Amino acid sequence: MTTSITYDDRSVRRFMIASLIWGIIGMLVGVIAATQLSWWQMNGKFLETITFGMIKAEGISFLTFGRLRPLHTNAVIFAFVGNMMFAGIYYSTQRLCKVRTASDLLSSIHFWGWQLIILSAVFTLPAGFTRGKEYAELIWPINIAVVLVWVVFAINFFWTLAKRNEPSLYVALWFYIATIITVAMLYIVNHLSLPTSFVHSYPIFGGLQDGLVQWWYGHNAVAFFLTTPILGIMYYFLPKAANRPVYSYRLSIIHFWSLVFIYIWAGPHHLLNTSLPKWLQLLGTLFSLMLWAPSWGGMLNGLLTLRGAWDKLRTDPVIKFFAAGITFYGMATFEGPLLSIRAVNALSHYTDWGIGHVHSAALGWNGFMAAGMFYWLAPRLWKTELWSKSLANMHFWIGTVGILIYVAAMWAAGIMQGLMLGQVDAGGTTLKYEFMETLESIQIFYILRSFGGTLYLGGFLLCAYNIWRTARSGKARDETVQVAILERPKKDNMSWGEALFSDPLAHVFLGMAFVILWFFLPPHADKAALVVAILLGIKAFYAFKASKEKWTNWHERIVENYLPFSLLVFIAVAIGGSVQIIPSLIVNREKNIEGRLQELYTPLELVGRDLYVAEGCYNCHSQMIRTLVPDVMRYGRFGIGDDYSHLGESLFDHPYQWGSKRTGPDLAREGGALAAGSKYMRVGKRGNDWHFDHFLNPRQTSPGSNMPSYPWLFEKTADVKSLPAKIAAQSRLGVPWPAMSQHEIRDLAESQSQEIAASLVAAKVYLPDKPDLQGDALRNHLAKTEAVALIAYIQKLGAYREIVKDSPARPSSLNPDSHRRNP
Amino acid sequence: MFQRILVEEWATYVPIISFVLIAGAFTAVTIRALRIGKGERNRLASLPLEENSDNLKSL
Repeated sequence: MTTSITYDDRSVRRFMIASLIWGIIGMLVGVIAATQLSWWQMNGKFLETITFGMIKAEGISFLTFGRLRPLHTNAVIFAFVGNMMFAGIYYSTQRLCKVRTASDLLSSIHFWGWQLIILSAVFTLPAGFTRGKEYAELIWPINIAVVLVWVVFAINFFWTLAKRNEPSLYVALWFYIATIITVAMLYIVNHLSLPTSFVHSYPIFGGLQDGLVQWWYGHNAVAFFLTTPILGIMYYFLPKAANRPVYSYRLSIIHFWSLVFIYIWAGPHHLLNTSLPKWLQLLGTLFSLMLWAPSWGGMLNGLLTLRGAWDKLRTDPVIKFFAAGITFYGMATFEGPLLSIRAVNALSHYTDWGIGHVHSAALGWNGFMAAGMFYWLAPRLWKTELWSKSLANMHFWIGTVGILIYVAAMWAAGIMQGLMLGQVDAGGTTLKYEFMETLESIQIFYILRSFGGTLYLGGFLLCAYNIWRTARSGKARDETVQVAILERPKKDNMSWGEALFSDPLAHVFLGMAFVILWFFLPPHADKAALVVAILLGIKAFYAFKASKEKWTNWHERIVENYLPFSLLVFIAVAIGGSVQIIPSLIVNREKNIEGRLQELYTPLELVGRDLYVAEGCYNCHSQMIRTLVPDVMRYGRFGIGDDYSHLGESLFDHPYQWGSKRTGPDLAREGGALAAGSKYMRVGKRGNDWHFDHFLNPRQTSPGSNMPSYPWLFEKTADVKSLPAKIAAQSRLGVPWPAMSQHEIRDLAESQSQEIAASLVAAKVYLPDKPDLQGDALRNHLAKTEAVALIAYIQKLGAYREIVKDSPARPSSLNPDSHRRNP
Repeated sequence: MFQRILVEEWATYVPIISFVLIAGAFTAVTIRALRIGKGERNRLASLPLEENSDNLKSL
């Protein structure tokens, strides 16, 4: 029996148009942010020039790099790629399931909900409302909205699967399932927060735990938001464009299961050479290297699908974009594991090499796959021809040249700066270059990066124009097809027991369990485990001989049953996440302080810390001295051994602030001890007046600096009123704040700010906008400002007290021949 | 066996356990993929090409 089905192509058109619009905005913000690193005036001062002096400002808060960079990353990830992904998923799922999307209402809620979320990000991020975690900056009410909209999407998707008229789930759908399940898991865990107000919250994790959870999420946002859905799109749209089936269906099975199983484990490679426990670093490196195999399996499967269709490369822009996109995927997934090797990471991390890496993937893989899909979809969604193939070809070449310039510039900048930062002078006892010297030496590459990014944006504008003209030349119409109605028994008829406890799965898991026991059991017991593992292997062989059919059909049956399939995907990704996160949650607080316990912040310092997070200082400054000689030499303190950042030093930091890029120097040891005669005021590497001048105009204290000026810090009043709620929230999270009343909290903040303000007045600081303000009037004004709170925080960085354990671990030598510990 | 090569804390075992899990899963999936019948393989691989949505004017 057949029926007529009209696909919901309106949702596809909507998501595609939204992706184009947000893509342009996100990339434009990226280009502006890139220019800010070459010309500090781009942080707001440029408005003076273009408005002929009508707007006067050394810097404008919502235009600074620290606030725009999160907007850029969120816009391109969640708005551009997100909408593109939804367009591809809605289009291909309906056709692969031979059914219209289950609910038009849910599709509309999904679309408009997602756009509202993005719109709210456009306002809140530049306003400084942030959680301070990369790609997870949105404030908690928006987080809840994201979860709700994602659930709507998931219901709509799985409901469509349940109604499908094709029994087998094609490999593209597997990748979509993995995306929906894993993103939900990652997003919820990394966004667990305790609100202190409608626009502010603290993550429930702190220090090392927060860092691990963050990069478990951050890495897998790349994996399951920017990779798996696009791989699904590749597996659907590439065969369509090449008009031939995927090169190897077998390889696609191996590709999918290996990728979803391995990807989730690799998060700790973002924290290599830090004081993260070594086993976690090993885990990150090991699994990153293993990722080479499935990633390249997928890439080759994609490229080889074009066998016999390579001639289309000359004429078909869709194939051109797909082929280049998959090639960039191969390049990026080669580079990623390479950067996860600790020795390479020592050079690359915190430099622009990482920026080059992510952009080769984002611009090359995501951007080009999006373009290829749009050029393929537009004529079909508007029932016409592509308006201009020539323009699409021009887009391709401008985009390709743009990416190459961008990536090459960032590679050169990263490697050069990394090498310079590690170089010692002839005597070998001091570092050869100041941080500023290394920054100045890579300026030319920063300019080239802006140029490459501008070219890429230009190409994308051509794409948007081409699609717009295509849409105008045709008429939006939903496609209607005749499909055979599938009877229920032919799909979704596998019992849970059959799915999870069938012979193949049971033997595999039992066998693996005993092999693990063989590794770890004491002598003799390990041999017994090995014998059991071998016996299981023999039993599996005979079971296989006895019921070959059952073994052979299990996977085919699983792909005809979407719920057991989805559960298996969840198990695959949950195992990796659990292994990373759970041990750290258990051992962190007690064992991992490494002899140094962070000094608690004072109320004023907490205000300063929240300002540091709100201004996005973490985008350019790390607070993590790695366990590397150049790091310790540059940022450690003279005369103190092993002065890398110990885990206990950031134990109470919600959120952690280790950072991921050093456009400016590390700040982990910026603070210092209490100043002589002071009750609260500390003085670190530099005096309060130095920081005052630095925030006012960084060029005053650091000639050549590309840091924005922060004049508003000297105008705006520090938010002391919300301190009681914030301290109460932190106490609930386990930060051992002493019991204080609201009045005590405010008095404490007032006393400390007065001390710092008095020291500034004594140092004869000067406010250019208020030249008449002097003496007590100046002190009283400064004591209320955000600048003083931020100075208080900066001067506290790196404060800790030594903790002597009862039985400290002592180093012992290893026998190099046997690797056994000497008795 | 490998416990004599590795050091102290239990958490150090985790990478090895992880590796075994991955190797096991990878082997099982590979065997499964290799054993899939040719007819079924071709049918599944051709799923995106079954429906013909190319009813645009011309491309």
